[in-house]
Order: sequence, then C-alpha cells, then structure tokens
Amino acid sequence: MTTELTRHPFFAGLREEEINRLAPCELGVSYDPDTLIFETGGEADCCYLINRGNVALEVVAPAGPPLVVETIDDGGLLGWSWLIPPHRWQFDARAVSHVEATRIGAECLRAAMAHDPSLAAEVTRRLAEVIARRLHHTRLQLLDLYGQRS
Amino acid sequence: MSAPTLSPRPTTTGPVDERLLPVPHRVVDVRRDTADTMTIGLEPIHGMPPPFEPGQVDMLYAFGTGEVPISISSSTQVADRREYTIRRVGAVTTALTNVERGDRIGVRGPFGVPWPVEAARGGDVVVIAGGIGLAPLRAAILHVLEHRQAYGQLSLLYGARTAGDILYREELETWRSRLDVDIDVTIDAAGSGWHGNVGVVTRLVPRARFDEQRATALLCGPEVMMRYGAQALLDRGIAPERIFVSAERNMLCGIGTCGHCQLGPYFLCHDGPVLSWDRVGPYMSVREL
Repeated sequence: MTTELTRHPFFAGLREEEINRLAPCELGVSYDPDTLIFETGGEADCCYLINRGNVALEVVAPAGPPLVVETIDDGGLLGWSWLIPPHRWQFDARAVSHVEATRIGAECLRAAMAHDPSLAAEVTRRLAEVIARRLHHTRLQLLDLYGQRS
Repeated sequence: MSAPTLSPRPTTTGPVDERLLPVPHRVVDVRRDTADTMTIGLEPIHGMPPPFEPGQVDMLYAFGTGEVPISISSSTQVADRREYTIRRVGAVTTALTNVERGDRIGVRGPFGVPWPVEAARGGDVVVIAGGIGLAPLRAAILHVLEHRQAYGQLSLLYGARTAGDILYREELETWRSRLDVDIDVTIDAAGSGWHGNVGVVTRLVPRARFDEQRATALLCGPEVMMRYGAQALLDRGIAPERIFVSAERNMLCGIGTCGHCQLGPYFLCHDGPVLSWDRVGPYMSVREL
C-alpha cells in the first residue's frame, strides 16, 4: 500500500501490515504561511509529518514578539506530546512557508500501537531518535558557540 | 594515533627573517558587517602585495597596540588589495575595527596552508561555516565561483547566532540567486520576523546536496561546531581525509618557530591552519590541548 506515510522518512521501511494499520490515522493537510498550527497548552491530539515547507516552534515572550526555538523542515516530524501525558503542546507551531503535511491522529495512532506491540516499539524507537537528535541540537544551541570565537 | 608527517620547520639562526617585519599598508576601505564585525581593505603603501591562496593568514599589526592573525577574506584574483573581516573581541581587534580610510596598518604574510581548492577540482564542494568562520572561507568560495566550471555542486551551510550576526548578508543573497549554488542558512535564536531556519548548522548536513564519494568539505567556525560538523559529514559518508578544517590557536610568529599556535604536533601557522580531519581531528578532542 502506498500512502503519504510510506514516502515520509519517519515511517519509511515499515512493514506493509504496519502501514496498513496506520493508514486510517492519516489525513493530508496544508497551511498557509503564518498559520498557527497548534498552540501551547492545547490538546496534543496528533502529530504531523512535514512533506513540504517548514514550521517554526515558538514560545511567547513578554513584551515582545514570540521567540523561535527551532524550525522543522520537510522530512521532519512535528509534535511528540501526543505520546507523553498529559498530552498538551509545549510550544506554539506556526507555518513559516506554505506547509503540506500528513496529520496523524493521536488516538488512532495510540490504538494501533496498543494493538501491535511490534509497531509500538518501532514507532517509539524512531520517535526516540528524533527526540535525541533534537536534544543534541538544543545542547549545541545552548553553548552559544558563535559568541565565543575571536 | 599515528605519528604525523611534518614538513621541516625553519631555524631561528641567521639574519632577521623578513617575514617577521611588518609591511606598512593603508586602509582603503572600511565596511561594517555586523554590530561587532568590520571588513577592511588594505593596500601596501609601496608596491604590490605578495600573492596568496584561499585560507591563508596575514598578521595585522595595529601600531602601538599589537598584532593578530586574520585570514584573508578577499578574492585571490584581486592583486592590489586584500580584505580582512575582523570581529572586535580584544585590544588589537578593537584597534583594527576602529580604523578609518587612510590609516596605516602593518601586515606580515601570507602564512599557512591554504584550503585545498585545487585538489577539490572535479568534485563537489561543501562549505560549513559558523559565525565569523565564514570569513576565512570567503576566499575559497570566491575561488570556486570564479572557476565554477571546474567544480561540481557547491553547497554552503552557514550558521550564525542571530539574524543580525549573519556575515556578508548581501553577498549571500547574491550567491543564493545563482542557479549553481546551494545556500542554507540557520540561526540559533530568532524572533518572529525571521523566516529562515532556526537550529544548529550541523542539522543542515543531512539534506545538503553533494555526492559523498566525490565531495571535499571545508569547515570553519568555533571548534566545537567543527567537531560536530565533521561528525555529521562522516555520518554522510565523506572520508576524513576529504574533510578540511581551519584550526586556529594563538598565532604569534607566523613562521613556525615560536610555538604559540601549537596543537599537538602541529604549529598551525606553518602546518595549518587548514588541516584534514584525519590529521587534526584526534587532537581536537583532547582536553586542554
């Protein structure tokens, strides 16, 4: 079965039965530039596979415009709060450019994972890779490297 | 780690080495790049400057204040003047960024091993720069652009602290408008007015367009960034001997005798600053080296 899921790096290489189990969870979505995709504190009821465009993760700052923490580009995964209670978004997500994405419903995805432990393990492992990579990048950003060079 | 092969270093006996004598130059151009960074153009007061290669370093002497090593950032095709991009971080660089047209500066050089732009011919070139590390790479980028047919893909991945810290912004926009150059810029911190990437420069490596088997990588920036940048390139499959970094320490004599710029077995003013990752990588992870 060929779906948007199989074309995205996050789900690439999954077995056909696993993709079939996830296929009912997917919905193609698109956002115009500057659209708020989700908001801090809102219910994290999905994740997004970015197929085109990029999304900024923002945090509201007092007395000023929001600060951009990171951008997520095509091929990236947006949102993992759906997996971890209390399932609330930790940042705002705003489309920087025109964005085309695959929305994966969290309830459907969690049900598929509960039904198939092998799929659950694989999705969790891939999610851990994404989280570890973002943590690594965040640590480098925290070093403020460019401020130190003469 | 295996014993490196080093070229003979000069001895200190005999008459004064002319390379230790600053040659007076006149400031002919001053441009502000960012809040703390300037690019100055210098011409010798008498004669022509000696030729140089991309990546080489000159010692700039602010008379009465001191001397610092600064990479030559202009094109090798411009014979009569050189440009240097200087960030204000100490007494000498403050003096050098306070100059005006007509002021005099002493120059010694060029020193050091250049970027391997000739050896890179025929293949792709991927350039990774962080912060003011774009300055030592500018001459190499200009060289590739001036000999564009001799190279394959040219990818420039550049990371800066904020949008206001992006170096050579107009030039980057000009390069980006070309159809034969891929430029990806990312910054560490942004407000909502920035519509580009936010994040570390190493995250740009997996999606950069180059053929790992025939690419040469040139890196310059903070040492930690270069370490992780080199690792990202190794993860992409580029061989360590085709990854080159500009390793910098506190250069003083410029001719490989004083040892101020020593990194492991290398005197960077003489054996570097450009070294391949298979040679210098192991020393960049040694604490307090």
